[in-house]
Amino acid sequence: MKKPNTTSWEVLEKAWQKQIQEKEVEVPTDLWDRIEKRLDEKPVRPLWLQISTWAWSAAAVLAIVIGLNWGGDEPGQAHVKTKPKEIPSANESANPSSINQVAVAAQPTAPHAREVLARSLVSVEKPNSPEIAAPVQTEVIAKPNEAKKQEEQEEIWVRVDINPVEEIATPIAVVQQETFPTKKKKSLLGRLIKQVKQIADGERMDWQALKEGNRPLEDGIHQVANTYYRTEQTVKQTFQIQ
Amino acid sequence: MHKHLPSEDFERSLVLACKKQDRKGQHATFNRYSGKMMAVCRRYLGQGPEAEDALMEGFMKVFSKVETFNEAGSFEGWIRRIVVNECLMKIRKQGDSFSKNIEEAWDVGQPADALMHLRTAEIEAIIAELPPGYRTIFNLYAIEGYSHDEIATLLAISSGTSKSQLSRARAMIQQKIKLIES
Repeated sequence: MKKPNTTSWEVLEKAWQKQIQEKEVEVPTDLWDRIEKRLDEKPVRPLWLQISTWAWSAAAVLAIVIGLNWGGDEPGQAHVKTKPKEIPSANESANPSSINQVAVAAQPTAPHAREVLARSLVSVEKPNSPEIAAPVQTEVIAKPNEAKKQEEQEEIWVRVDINPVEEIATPIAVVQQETFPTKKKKSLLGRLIKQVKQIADGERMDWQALKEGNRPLEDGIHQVANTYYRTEQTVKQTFQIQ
Repeated sequence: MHKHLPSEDFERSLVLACKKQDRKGQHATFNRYSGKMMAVCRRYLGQGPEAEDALMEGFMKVFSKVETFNEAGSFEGWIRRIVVNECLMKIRKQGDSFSKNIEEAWDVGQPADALMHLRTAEIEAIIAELPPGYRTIFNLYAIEGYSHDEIATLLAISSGTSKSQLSRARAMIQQKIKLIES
């Protein structure tokens, strides 16, 4: 690259600089009015800033709650809805569909049932000890496939020939099943509506009740709270800078 | 056109008034510097409405950013830099005038004697006839006094490109004066 001779050009340009920098030209008369008008204008806040922060936070919480409610329907997180087992009546017990029902049906509630059972039951003579009777029953319960085979072979009922003492012992299991029905939990939406009603009545919102037993919701609420706090701080800082 | 005696006190009072967002002070500042700044805008952007827009935007920035003026240099120089920046922004919006990254500078030799005796209007006419890229760099280097490194930063080009464009601008000015002489 050749080096240009700029010495004289520098002198020339200095001279031109002095001449040109002092030059003034006419300015349109309305230019100051336009500037003044713009200076008088109040800075317009963007629409998203006009919406108050509480509205944003409410919208965010609602969005998260709805999102989590959706997530709650996923198979992995679905609530197991357990239906309390119905105790079959003596007549129904002639056609049991599960081993548990077999066990339940073993309860001779009526004399007629006792007769029906007596016809189809396999009698197993055992010493009249209740401790021995129980394992037999447990074995049957533990092998449902075998029981199904038995059903197919019309050997529906498997029963130890129970003496009166044993017969009394068996219903205890049934009673236990009845006394612990699975507690039906309210869905998240239901709990949310309950809380909304509570707020409408003038009471305080119970977050614990809402998030109880719902780990994702609990995490989500904390996440929303953190996000909201951080956003608020950022907005405040932005305003301070402006 | 309002003419004022160059007075540091007067300039300082203008700065103080502008910092207080005093409307009279702002108007006085505009009256004092707008003529010179309009000439700057015309040199960069020509006679079109863009020059007026650049001047207006420049003064808006002056009034809104006056708090940042630390009074180390002259107020006029600070306003001039803002206005020049506004002009450069307009030029960038108009199109890419500085895309040619040519590193090779031309040897243009000594400037013709006739160039030393030109009147201001003639100088302005010669500069105005230069292509936008050459004109911008000539204005920045020769008239405003920016260095090649500063120009490179302002226009996002290399320092070599700034030098080469300046040498071509000078060559073009040389040719024009020869044509006028002949």
